[in-house]
Amino acid sequence: MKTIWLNLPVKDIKESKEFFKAIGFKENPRHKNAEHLGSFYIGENNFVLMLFPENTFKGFAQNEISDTQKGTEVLINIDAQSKSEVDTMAKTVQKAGGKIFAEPGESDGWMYAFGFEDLDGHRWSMLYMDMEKMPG
Amino acid sequence: MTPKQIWANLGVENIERTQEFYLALGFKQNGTPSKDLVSFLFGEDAFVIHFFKKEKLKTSLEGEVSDLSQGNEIMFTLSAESKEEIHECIEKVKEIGGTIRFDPRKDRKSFYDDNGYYVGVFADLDGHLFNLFCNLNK
Repeated sequence: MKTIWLNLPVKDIKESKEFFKAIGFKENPRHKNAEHLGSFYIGENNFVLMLFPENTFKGFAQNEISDTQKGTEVLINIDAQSKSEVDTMAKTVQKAGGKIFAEPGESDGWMYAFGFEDLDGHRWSMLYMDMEKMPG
Repeated sequence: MTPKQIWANLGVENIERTQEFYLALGFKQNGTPSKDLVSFLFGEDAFVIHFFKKEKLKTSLEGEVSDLSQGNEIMFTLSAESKEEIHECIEKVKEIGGTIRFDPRKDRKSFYDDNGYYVGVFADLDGHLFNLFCNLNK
């Protein structure tokens, strides 16, 4: 199994695509013009994030979609190269319509992170790790 | 914003049984597990999934961990090279206590058939979903 990608159900493909574009994710050129799905590349390995309308996702998953306001199945993490990148991203996310659930802040003396919900309540975290301060 | 890395954190009931499950499926362990965490690498780019004890994940989420019997929020897809690879994976999942949600040897979906996709879906011991996907056109 050579490749893994992540599928997320969303209520509105168009709005979600705008959101992820606005926070700086790269559109997968192969699906750029698709109206029935969204596809983004994240990180240096171009990890693929697929967005599907909820009904389509249900068909693929053979299951109901959970209510993200009641609970979360996954915390998706992305890294940052500096603290200021975390702060900037927090502002960008808010401007794009995302919701901050954890304001940027230090953790354990060597990490700096913030957490946000995308338009459908999927929870993300951006984390800066100061390797010099990391406990050995 | 240019993140270099992306990884995923999932909640599980029991670290040891999760470790056994993913080892049995042939995935590579990432580091040494602790009492709260076991981590695995997926695919040739070594995508990391951390499996945290639910109580531990809860503190990072600053919210509740969802009850997967009520539905799923995400699904991962793993690409397969052949029908046989999907069949083998399904058999293994059954043997080690996972749940098969879609078995292409008996379940049919016209969307898959029409497009030449060969698909299996399983849930791990905690209900996290994986979609096994083979594009037969290739």
